[in-house]
Amino acid sequence: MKRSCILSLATFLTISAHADLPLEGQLFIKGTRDPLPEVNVFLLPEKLKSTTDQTGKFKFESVKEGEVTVVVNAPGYSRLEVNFKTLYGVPQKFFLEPEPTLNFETTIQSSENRDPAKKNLNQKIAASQPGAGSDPIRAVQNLPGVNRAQGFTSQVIIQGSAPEDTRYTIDGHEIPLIFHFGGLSSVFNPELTESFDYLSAGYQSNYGRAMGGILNLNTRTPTPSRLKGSAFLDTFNAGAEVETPVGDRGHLALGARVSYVGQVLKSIFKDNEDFALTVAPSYQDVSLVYARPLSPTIDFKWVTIGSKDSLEFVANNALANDPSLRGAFSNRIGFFRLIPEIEWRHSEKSRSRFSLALGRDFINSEIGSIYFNLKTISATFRAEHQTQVNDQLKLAFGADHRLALADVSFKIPVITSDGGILNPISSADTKVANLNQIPAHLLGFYLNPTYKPSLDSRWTLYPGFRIDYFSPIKDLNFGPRLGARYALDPSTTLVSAGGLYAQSPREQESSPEFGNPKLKAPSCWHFKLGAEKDLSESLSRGSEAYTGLYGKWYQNLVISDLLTTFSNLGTGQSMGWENSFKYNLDPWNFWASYTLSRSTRADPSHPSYLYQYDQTHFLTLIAGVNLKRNWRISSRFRYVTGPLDTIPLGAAGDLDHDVFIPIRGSLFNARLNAFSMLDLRIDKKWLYETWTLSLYLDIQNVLNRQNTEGLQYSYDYTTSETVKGIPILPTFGLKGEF
Amino acid sequence: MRTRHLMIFLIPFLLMFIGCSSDTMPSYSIIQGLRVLGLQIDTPEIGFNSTTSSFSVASVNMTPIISDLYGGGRSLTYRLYHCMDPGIGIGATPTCSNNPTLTQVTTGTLITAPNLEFQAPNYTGALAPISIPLNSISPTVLALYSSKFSTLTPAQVFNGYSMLIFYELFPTLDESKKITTFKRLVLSGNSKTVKNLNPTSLDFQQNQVHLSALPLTESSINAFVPAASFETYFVMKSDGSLSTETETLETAWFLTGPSDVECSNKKECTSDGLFALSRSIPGELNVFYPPKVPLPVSRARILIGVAKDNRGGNTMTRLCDGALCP
Repeated sequence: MKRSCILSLATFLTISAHADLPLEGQLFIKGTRDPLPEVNVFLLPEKLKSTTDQTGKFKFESVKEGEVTVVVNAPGYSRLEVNFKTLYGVPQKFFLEPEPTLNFETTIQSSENRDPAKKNLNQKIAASQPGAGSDPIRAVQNLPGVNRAQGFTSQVIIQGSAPEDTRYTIDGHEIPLIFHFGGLSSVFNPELTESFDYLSAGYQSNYGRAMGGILNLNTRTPTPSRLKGSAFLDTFNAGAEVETPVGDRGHLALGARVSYVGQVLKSIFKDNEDFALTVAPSYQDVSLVYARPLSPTIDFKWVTIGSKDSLEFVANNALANDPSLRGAFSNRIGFFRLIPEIEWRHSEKSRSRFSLALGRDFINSEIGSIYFNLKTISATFRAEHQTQVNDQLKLAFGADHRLALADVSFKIPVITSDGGILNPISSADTKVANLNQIPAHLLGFYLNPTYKPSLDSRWTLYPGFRIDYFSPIKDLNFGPRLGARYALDPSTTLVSAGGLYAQSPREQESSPEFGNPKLKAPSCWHFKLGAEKDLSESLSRGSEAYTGLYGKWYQNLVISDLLTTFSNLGTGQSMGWENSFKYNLDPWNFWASYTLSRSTRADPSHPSYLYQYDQTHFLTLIAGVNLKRNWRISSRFRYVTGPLDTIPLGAAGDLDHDVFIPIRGSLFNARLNAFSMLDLRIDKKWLYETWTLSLYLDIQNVLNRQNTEGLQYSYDYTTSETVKGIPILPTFGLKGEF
Repeated sequence: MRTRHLMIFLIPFLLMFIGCSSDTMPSYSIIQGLRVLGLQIDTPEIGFNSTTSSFSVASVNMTPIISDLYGGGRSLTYRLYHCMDPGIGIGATPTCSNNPTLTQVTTGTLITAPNLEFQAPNYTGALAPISIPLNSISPTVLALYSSKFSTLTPAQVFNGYSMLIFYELFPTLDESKKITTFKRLVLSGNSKTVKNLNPTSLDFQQNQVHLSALPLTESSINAFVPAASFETYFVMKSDGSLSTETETLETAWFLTGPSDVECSNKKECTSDGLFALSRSIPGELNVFYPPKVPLPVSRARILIGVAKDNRGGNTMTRLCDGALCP
C-alpha cells in the first residue's frame, strides 16, 4: 500500500459574527479534519489579525456588521480569500487547497549525531517513487550501493555482499524477512512506517552481525486526535488501517493487508499441463502500534507484526529436468513479533531505551519426499543508555541479545549451487534429522560515543566498539569502529567510517548434524570516505549531493568443503564509488544515483573471480513533477551492468537418477546483457471535506524491455536460453483516507 | 563457492523463473541425436571387504542402452573406466580426473550393429554387455578403497559407498560430440547380506494389457513393474539401528523424434508422438499424443522405458512400432 503523494489538506472554517461582537472560527486540515495550529487569519477591510491555537481556533474580539473578507495565507496551502456578510449565528465553511509538495527531501539527515554510514528515507517519499509499487522499502533499490536483485528475489544486496549478509530489523529487532513473496511488498504496513534506515559500509556499533549492512524499519508512533483510517486496493493486494485515541493518553494504530497476487498467477498457469497451482501464492500481514506516555518522562510503545506467505502447487513433470522436483509442493513462511518498548528520559541530557521482541518463526516446505520444517522461538532484547556527558562528549552504550530456540525436522538434499548453477538435487546426498530445542545465543555489547572537540570544532568523531558472541560456534568477536565528520564549510561535510564486522555462520553451516560446528565467524573490514553537500533552501527548493568511496575486505567466508562439509577458507573484497544527487525546484524534483563497483571472491579451488552480485555500473534517474489539480507524474530509469552467470564446461549424465550434473570451469565466467528499465507513475488526488481519494498507476518496465535475468540450460547443458525478467507490469491502486 | 542446504524454501522464486521460460529447449524424453539412455549393471550392489581388499564378485557386466537415431550407422567410440566416488552427493565434480583410483577398463568402437536392438535403420536400444573386471584392479587402488572404507562410519559401510563407472560415447570422427555418463556400483560391507537387485521387468500397458504398438489416438498408458521388483531393504541410521524401506521405482520415458536438424523446438518435436510425462511412478498414467504430421517412413518409432529403483538398480523395456522394426 502506498500513499501516492502528500495528503491534501482542507480548511474548515466556521464563523459566527455580530455587529461589534467577537467573531470566532476554527481552522481544520481538509480531508483529515485535523486542526491547523499556528496559522495567521486576517479579516479585511478592518485589517484584523488572529492566530489559530493548537485546536485550530481563532478569534477576532470585535467585528463590525457588514461584508468582510477572511484571508488565510499559510505556507504549503493555497491562499484562501472569501467574502461574506457577518451574520450572527450563521456558520460558514471554507476549504483551503494545499499545494502538492512531494519532493525527494530526506535521504540524508543533517545531524551531527547521526551515523556517518546511515541514510534515512521517509515513508511517504519512498513509497511514492516510481517502481516502488507503493511500498517504501522497495525504494531502497534507488540508493547508491544497493545492488539490483535479480528476477523475483526478495532480498536486499548491499555493496556487493551476499544477500545473507544483510540483516533486517524493525525498531532494532531482527525479523527473518523484509519482503513478502517475490518482493512485491514489504512485511510491515507502510501506513505504520515512519521511515527506514539504510546502514552500509562503516555503520556504527549500535548495530552488528551483518557484513553487508542493515535495513531497519522505524515504526510510526500514532498520535491521532480522533478516529482516522484508510483503505486501499491495488493490482496485487488490499488492506486497511485505522488509528484512534485510546483512553486519555493512549493511541492505537492497526493495519492489515491481504494479497491476491496468486489469483493473477493462477490465471496465467491455468492452461499449463506441467504446472498446476493448487493453493495460489498469497500473503497476509497484520501490524499494530500502541503508544502511551506512562509519565512525563516515560513513554511506552507496543509494536506487533505478523506475516505469512503460502504457496502450493503440483508439478506434473520434473521441474528443471530433475525428477526430485516433481509432485506436490508446498511452502509456508511466517513469523510474528510482539515488541514492547520503554523510553525513559532521565533528564534533558540523559535517556534510556529498553525493548524486547518475542515471537516465533516457522517454515514448512515440502516437495515430493523432501521436507523442511522449522519452528523457532525468538526472543531479542535491546537496551541502550545515552547521556550527554558534557558539551564535547555524548555517550551511548548498550546491549542486544538474540535467543533462538529451534525445533527442526528435515529430509533435504545437500544442494550445490557453485557459480549460480544448481546441481540436480536427485544426485545429492539426503540428510534426515529431527532436532528439538536447539538453542542459539547471539549476544552483543557496544559503546557508541560521539565526541566533538569543542563547540566550534569542525570535527565530530564516532569512536566505538562492539563485542559479539555467537554461541553456536562459541566464538567471541571484537569489532572496533571509528567514524568522523568534518564540516568543510556550512554546506559541505566530509564523512568517513570503518571498522570490523562479524556475523554468525548460518544455522545449517554451523550445525553439528548438517555442517561444521568448528567454523569461525566470517568477518569483514569496512571503510568509507565521502563528501556531502547540502544546498537545500527549503523542502521544495535546493539540492543535495553525496560522493564517496567504500571498500570491504572479507575473511573467513564459509564455503563448501568435501572433507568438513563447510570451512572458513573463503575470502573476498568489494569496493565502489557511490554518488547521489537530488535537486528540487518546485514543482520539479530530480534524483540521480550512480555506483561504480567491483566485488570478488576467492577460495582454494577458485582464484579470485567476480562475485555473483558484482555490478560494475548502476545508474538510477528519477524525475517527478507536481501538476495542478493534484496530479503528479514521475518516472524512473535504471541501467545496470548485466548479471554474471556460469557457463559450464559440460555435463556428466548421472544415469542412476536420470539427470546431468554440470561440470564447472571458472565461476561466473559470463556477463549477460545489461539491464535497463523505465518505470512510470501517475498520481491523482481528490480532496473532499472529510476524506481524500487517491489513485495511482505505477507501470514497471513501461517500454516492455526483455531484460535477461539468467540462463536456463537444456537437460544436458549443451544448449541454453535466457530467462527474461518481468514484462511491462502495470499496478493500479486506489486509496481512500478519512 | 557456497553450498546451500536450506535453499528449499527459496524454490518458489526459482520456480517462477522456470514458469517464465520458453518452450524452445530440447526435451529430455525425445530422442533426437546421440544419446546414452541407460546403463545397467547386472549386480548393482556388491560386497567389499576392506580387510582383504576384495570384492564379493570377480566382475560385473554393464549393458549400455543408447541411440544414434540419425547417425546412419556411423562409427562410434566408447570408453569405460571407473574410480571411487569423489563425493558427488555433496557437490564434487563428477569426474575421475586427478582421482588416484582411476582405472581404465576398455575402449572400443561400434562399427556395425552389434546386436538386434542397435541396428539399422533405427540404431536405438541395448548394446552387448561389457565385462568390468574387479579382481584385476591394481593393489594400490584397492588399498585406497580399503583406506576409504576404514574412515567410514558403520552406517556408511552398511549402506554402501560408490564406485563410479563412466561410459563415454562419441562419433569416432568427432570427439567434440562426446557424451559422458556414469553409473554407481554400490560397494557395501559384508554385514549387509541382502544386496540390491535390479527390478525384475518393465512393461508398457494400456488398460492393464501389454502394449505392442503405439496407440493411434490420444491414450493413457502406463509403465507396469511387477510387485516382485519392489524390494524391501534396510537402511542403517547413524545410531546403528536399522530402518525398513521399500523401493520407489520411477520410469523414464524416451520416444524417438525428428532429428535436431529438422526440429529444435520442443513443441514441434512430435513426429513420433508425444507423452505428457517424461517420468512416471507405478500406477501413474501417462498420456500419449499421436503425431500430428505423417510418420517417418525411413525408420520405426521406438519407445524406451528405463525403470530405476534409486539405489543403482534398473531395468529397461523397448517397444518398436512400425514395419522397419527388426
